[in-house]
Amino acid sequence: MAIVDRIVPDIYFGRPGALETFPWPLGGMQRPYERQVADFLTGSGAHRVNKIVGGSRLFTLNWDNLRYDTYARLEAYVAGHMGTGPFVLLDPSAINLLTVNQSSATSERNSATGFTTSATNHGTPGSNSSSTHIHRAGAPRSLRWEFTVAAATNPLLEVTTVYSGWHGVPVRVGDSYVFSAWVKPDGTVDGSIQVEAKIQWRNAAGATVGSEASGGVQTVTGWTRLVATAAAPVGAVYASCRLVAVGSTITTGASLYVDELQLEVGSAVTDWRPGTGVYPVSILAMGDAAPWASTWRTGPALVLREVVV
Amino acid sequence: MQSASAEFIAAVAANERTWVQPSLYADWDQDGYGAAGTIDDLSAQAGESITVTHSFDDGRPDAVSSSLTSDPTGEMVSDLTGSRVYELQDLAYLDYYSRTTAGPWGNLEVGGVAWQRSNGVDADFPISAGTARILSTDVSVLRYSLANIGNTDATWRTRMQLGIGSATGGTVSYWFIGRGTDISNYYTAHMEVLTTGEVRLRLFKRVAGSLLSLDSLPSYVSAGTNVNGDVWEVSFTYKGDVLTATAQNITAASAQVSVSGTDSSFTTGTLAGMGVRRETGNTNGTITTQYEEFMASVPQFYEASPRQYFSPFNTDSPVSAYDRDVAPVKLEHGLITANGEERVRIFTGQMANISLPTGAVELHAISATRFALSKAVKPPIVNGPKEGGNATWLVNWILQECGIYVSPTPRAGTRAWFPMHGSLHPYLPYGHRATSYQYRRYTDENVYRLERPKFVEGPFSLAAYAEQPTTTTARRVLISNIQVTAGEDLISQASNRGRVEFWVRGDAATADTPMGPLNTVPLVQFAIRGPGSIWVAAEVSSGRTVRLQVHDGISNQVYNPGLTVPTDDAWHSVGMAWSFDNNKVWLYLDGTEQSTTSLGLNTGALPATDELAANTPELYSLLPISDLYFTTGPEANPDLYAWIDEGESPPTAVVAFEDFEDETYSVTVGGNWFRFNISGPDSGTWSLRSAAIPHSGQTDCTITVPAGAATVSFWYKVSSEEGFDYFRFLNNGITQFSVSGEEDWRESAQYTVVPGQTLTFRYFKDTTVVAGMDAAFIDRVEFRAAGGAPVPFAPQAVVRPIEIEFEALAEPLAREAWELLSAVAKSSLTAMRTDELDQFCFLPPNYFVEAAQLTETETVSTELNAADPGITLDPSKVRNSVQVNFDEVRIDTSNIFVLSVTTAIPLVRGTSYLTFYFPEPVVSIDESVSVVTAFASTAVESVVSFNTAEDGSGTYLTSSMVGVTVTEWDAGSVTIQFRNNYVSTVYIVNNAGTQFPFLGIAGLGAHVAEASATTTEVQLNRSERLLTVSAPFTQRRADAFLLGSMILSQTRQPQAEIAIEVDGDPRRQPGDLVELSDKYGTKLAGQWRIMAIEHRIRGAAYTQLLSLQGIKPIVKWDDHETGWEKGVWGP
Repeated sequence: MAIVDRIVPDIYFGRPGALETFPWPLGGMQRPYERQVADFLTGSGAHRVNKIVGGSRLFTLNWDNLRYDTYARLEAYVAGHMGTGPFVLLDPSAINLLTVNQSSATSERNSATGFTTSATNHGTPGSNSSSTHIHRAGAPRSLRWEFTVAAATNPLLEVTTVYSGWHGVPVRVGDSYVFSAWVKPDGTVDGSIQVEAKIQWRNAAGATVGSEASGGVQTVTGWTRLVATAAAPVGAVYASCRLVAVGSTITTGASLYVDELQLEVGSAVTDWRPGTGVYPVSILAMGDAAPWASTWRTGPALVLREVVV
Repeated sequence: MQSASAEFIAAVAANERTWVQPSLYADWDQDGYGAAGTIDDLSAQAGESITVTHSFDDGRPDAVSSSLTSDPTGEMVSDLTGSRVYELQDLAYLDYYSRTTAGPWGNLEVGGVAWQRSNGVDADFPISAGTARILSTDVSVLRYSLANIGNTDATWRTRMQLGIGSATGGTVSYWFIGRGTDISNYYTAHMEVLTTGEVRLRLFKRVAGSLLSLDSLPSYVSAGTNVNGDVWEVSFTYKGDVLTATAQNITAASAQVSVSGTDSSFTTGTLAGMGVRRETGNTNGTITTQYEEFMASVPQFYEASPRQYFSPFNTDSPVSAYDRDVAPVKLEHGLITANGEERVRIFTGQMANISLPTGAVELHAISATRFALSKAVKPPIVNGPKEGGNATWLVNWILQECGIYVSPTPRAGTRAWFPMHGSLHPYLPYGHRATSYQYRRYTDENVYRLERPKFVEGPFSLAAYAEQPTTTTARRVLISNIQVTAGEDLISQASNRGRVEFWVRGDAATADTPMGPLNTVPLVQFAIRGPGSIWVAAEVSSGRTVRLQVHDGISNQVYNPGLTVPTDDAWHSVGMAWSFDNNKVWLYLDGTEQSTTSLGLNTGALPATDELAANTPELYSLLPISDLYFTTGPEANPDLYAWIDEGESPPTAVVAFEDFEDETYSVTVGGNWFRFNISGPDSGTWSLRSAAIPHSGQTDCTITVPAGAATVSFWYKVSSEEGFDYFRFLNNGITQFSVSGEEDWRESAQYTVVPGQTLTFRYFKDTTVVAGMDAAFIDRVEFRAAGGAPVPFAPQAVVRPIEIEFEALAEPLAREAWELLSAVAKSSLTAMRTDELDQFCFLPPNYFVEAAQLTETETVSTELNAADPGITLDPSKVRNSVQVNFDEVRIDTSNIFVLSVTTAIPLVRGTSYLTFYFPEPVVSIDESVSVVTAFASTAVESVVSFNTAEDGSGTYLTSSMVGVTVTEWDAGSVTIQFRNNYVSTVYIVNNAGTQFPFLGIAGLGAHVAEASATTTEVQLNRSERLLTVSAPFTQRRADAFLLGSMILSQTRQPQAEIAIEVDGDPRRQPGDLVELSDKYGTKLAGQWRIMAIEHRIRGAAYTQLLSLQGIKPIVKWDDHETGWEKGVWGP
């Protein structure tokens, strides 16, 4: 029987670019995705449901026991030795690192919030509701990347950062990441467009680090999954996901539809899973107890709240 | 109900709704709050350029514009709870090497510190033609030039050429040094050129002379290859323990590369600069490295912590001691629609307070319009029966006094503005009393009687009604002896530009008028008469064409290109403008302009200066007319300033600016004027002065209009013999204006210019006598690009005409604008509020019976209430008799003594000013006070008698010994100047008996008497119940009865009011008519009007508390199906 080094993954916590490795909380992790919902009771007893768009997770990480050395590294964050935060938690149990609106290709907000282009000739991101152009069965929306004017040489659609202090999704140097998306041309104005998925690595200041990871330019005529895979190079703090098209293959007026966007850790693309984003987290509390042996801590529970702005 | 998209309506009506977070926006870029584009720009990240600006009332500049050196740290401040620190670069040290020196480099141009060279000789560090050089003659020798920039943290960059293509024999390294304490201790970034031509970038530290690697780094990054002559841009940033260097080959347009590392060896050094070293083995020979510019910036920190920033006790805060109630605040709520996120405005106002309780900062805001109306205003004296007295005029007057306009804002240069929104009295000038008003009703040819002016709905508000239905009947507006505000001459050689704009209604009119036959009497005429046969008449002719007649004293010129006012009963914008100097006239009708320069106008026969007594304007109209603007000066030029109907021109960009502070001019200046040290219109000390010239001489300064310029303005000062020695400005040879005498610094108007043409500033003298400095000066010549299209006027308030009339406005004291408006509103049952866009709304009862307001906006079903409706129905409030107490005002129809002094007043020798208070307000007085010595006349006129004895038994003095002049008066008082030239004290007294006051001021008084009007409705089943109300603005009995009737109609039965909390819809507004469906059988079903809304937003729970008032159904006469009786008598 082969020896398994590790049966549970590590978690990573700290500041982007300086993430520390902590053991998986063997006591379990509660991570409810909380959304503010109000139930409006009408005069006849019927209900109208109101929701606030978006939500926030409350992480509770329970360790059965931690060596004091490990615990102390956590305590440094809790107590303020590592500054005021916010910090980041990379939770390996969440597959898709993109936000709800990004991973669902505008289905959350019916708008292209979370996507951007730099100029009109790079196309305009929008929201599509025509089921003809939606890859997920039953899903309400896909992202429409529309070119109303002659396209630039290499139109670029970028998945934007969730937090103004960041320059992408926080990553760990050396880990391999996969960015994938399903794309198709509109098939009416343009039946064939060349496009590629890319990951750009950035340092803490937002400057690019290393070379972009590309899955190679593909000529898409129908729903095609684009995949870019690469390991975060030395100096990388953030990953910025982007789609880059070949402008000469785009007819003015054409659109490219995008669905099921996913950024995941790994070396091979997996099935799409819904993303809820990697947001900065603030530490709410950490409880612990010292057992008879002072070099241990019993039952530490770290409570984190996602900061969603 | 506020408008929103169909998608929004669908989303808000759905059973499941997704709200977006309410958006609270406070614009800190206002007085005392600052931070334009910076703290506003909460998403700015490192490297992005932002500007921190504080704009203060006193114009104190406080702005830093630069790049963020790092990402802002801390929490966002959008919710005012966090603290966020922005770090910007302050460009404190600059050197463009614009000097020439054989070496060394000398001092930085900005920052002033000295470059210090090391190794080599001075001649190895020359500067010329904007380039600093380092000559590297020796191998293994580092030659460098360092400057002390005074900061341990900095970013500096330079542009450079390496002096070689590739290295031969051995590497050449270019050093970029920072945080140096001396020449042996510093950080350095190296750009190394290899023998292959490859360029590598790496970081080192030099400790005690030894060059060491930084452990945390990759060994180098490749920056591409170099070709001799390539320009590189290099930067070096060191902040705390983080070091970053970047390099980019600009010529090759290659990507910028960077290398970063951390180290904490040095914390104190402040030296920065560049060096070159030919490493061992190099055989390139002498290398000349060229540096084009050096820019070093040091960090500035801005903490956007609300607590620190706003605390009134933090005197270090940039907003300390400044107004804190001005930042605009907007609150919007919205939801996810099929088209994405959409928001609807709920509140607009301005910040009132930021309190700092524990846990969060609270933002309080109030209506900005309400603030704007917190201003003391004193209406001018208006004689209602004569000038017209609809209170709508007063409402609009109050608003415009507070900067809120319901009709186009008068532009600079407007000398008179007659809105005619219910009175003929002008809004501009304020408070004059000499203008004469007549509203003539013709009954036969040239037979008329004066009437109270009539008004009708105009293009913006009310408008003066006039008509000419037949040749024997007409109503005619006549305003003569029009007083204008101070400004340039109306018609003289010095100044003769003018512009008249107004709106007329295209009513049909017969060809001949009661005043005269066809073509002799225009339908509308605004005339300015100069001396003799000099005059200008801007007209709508009897043939309905827009026409301008100009008599220059020599010939009569008529411009009538055929712009015809249609007969369509619609309002039309009309304009006329003229400039004798430019020999040009313009006409305008509804967006069409016609102009000509072929009339042959000349200024030769015009008087040298204005003869004001003769040329005050006069207006009459036989068509309904509104909003007349009379403008002089440069703003009268339609080529330069849009017609007021078209809107205001937006601001434009500066193309060139010259303030003569140094000898290098930004524009081409010719002629023999010279720079002169004189305190100018700005903080500078240099201006351009005219050359010294002999009598009859002339000196010119010429400036060539630069490319891209569309207008020019400048400052000028003149000190010359008045009326004989002149400063004159000519635009492409055409005189624009001339000034003589003593004129301190003054800004000219903007003049239209054409690139390449010449502007001439001329000083010329007559044959004799000089005065003052005998010179003219110019400064701050500013050329601007063409502006965009004019922005059409949009009313800033919704004011619907009201029906109450005033007899007299004779307010002795100023009152708060809001209070005065409230008085008018109360007296007319008008709804007054500011809406969700902070627009002032003044909505009288008749507004709510217009069709639009009787269209219900939605159904608020009691299915949707969050709580049971709170029904309030108080039968004890039922009244069937209303007594309106008001101040009835009556104006004298002929002069009486509005002031009668019968107490002797001694006057010592010399001049005395005495102020007397009228016992009752007055609307006019006889300002010409006669000194009387005999007392036989019985005419009521202003009189005064002076006697040498206190009891009047002495000698009466004549006007040769005593004088009297009314210097100032208003509705409440008069100030009179008395001049006693007699040898001793004299007395204002007489002994002629009581019928002759010692001092009597004749005039028309406004007599105020408390009165009441009672309206009673007989109801057999109820005893009389009286409601007494006071109508603070009502002056006429008819209005009091009207008010009483309206109140009675609402109080004769219980008035139902309900409060109900319902599911939220941000589109709802007070005033909306809603249909209430009845779930509980309470008979609430029916139409209700929303009186007030309270928004309650708690996370996803958004409800509104509505106050509803019942309204009666709209019914048809005698139509039982629509419930006529119910509609009349109520449910």
